[in-house]
Amino acid sequence: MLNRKVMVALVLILVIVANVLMLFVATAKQEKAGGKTQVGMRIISPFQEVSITAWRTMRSLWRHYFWTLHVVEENDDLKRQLQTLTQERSLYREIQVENQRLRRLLDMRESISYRSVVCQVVGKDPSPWFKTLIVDKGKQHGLQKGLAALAPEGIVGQVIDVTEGFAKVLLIIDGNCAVDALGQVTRVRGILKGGPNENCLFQYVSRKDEVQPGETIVSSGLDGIFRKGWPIGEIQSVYKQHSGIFQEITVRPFVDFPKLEEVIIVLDKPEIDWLKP
Amino acid sequence: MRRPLHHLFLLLFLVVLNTSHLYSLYVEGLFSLLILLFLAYLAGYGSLSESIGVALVLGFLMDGFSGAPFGLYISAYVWIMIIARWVVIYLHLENPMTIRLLLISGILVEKTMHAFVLTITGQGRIVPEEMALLILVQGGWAMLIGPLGFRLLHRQYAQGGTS
Repeated sequence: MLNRKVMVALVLILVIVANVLMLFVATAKQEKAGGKTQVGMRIISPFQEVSITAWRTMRSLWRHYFWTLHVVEENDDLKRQLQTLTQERSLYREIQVENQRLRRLLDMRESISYRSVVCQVVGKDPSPWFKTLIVDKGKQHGLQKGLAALAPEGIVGQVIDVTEGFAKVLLIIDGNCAVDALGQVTRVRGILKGGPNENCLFQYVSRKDEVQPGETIVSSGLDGIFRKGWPIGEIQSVYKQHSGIFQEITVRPFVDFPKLEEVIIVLDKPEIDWLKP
Repeated sequence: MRRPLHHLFLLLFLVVLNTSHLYSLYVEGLFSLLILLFLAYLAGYGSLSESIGVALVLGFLMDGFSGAPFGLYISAYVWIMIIARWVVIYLHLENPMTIRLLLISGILVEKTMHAFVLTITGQGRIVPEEMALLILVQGGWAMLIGPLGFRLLHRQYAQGGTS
């Protein structure tokens, strides 16, 4: 007969093993775990929406009514900037017209317009080790899993879970997010994954490829989620080890994630023939 | 009847705080410590069923928001609760230093569980420097506001009744 202490120890071991197994199963079935995770989102997200709206209203009031001392100075700066930008805009218009003319000459297709919806960020991942956002649009606005999320600066991430009125977006700075990407100048291809310090790692780039810090990384359009040419970030550092096939490239995303308040979800997935069964 | 309502209100409040879009290590550290404070209080003064129940519901809601494998927060909070309930048998919760130590132990158990689970499942990315800094921040908050928060919770629940 086993004594009581041994029994307690055995039960404890059994519970720990069961717990670990449960987490393994949850990890393996994460794609299908929508129902369970959605209950929490359905309950809490409306409260999040109210609290974040209240917080932003208060912040807006503070900025508008109490920071007026800075406004006069800022106004002068902005006027100067406006003059410069007006000149620049005129130049860019010329370039745009020239670009359109050249496109027509080359018989290239005009950029495709796609349906999109603007969402407000209402919450974020409670864990510091995962990078997701909760947005205030869901199935009733046409959102579904696997859609791309953008900001004016570049790619934000992809939708991984959707309820009727809310959706969860996995950010490109999360270690579980991967984007098929290209160097804009060198056309070097690799996989962009989330890295430490809210940066990304541009992986599987051969040692032989010459890439330099400062180069822009764009999506290649081959992952079936992000269209070709969407900006992601800029190469921050390149490190070639003495041994190894690949380089270690760190990319700083263009999107300032902590300050992100709105995202654009693209409702039309890119069509890639080889992805079809 | 008022006690479960208190629990529910606090749970919603804590989850909204912890999922609010405010990026600051100090704020995040404080908000996640408030959860541990609530769990520690229940471990000391709540019944077994209500403390495990709260840990389960809280973990379930947090798991719903996290990109982590489903069950990570449930497991972490339930284990923290089990360990805390076992530890408080031998401790005097009237002593402020004991509360601080209990909270710091909770922080360490939570971080150990996260690191262990994320390592074995291969999900997420833990940066040791970030982890150390977060523990330091949470530990600092625990030292500063731990006993005060504990007393406030105790007073709040004493006023709210026990049934």
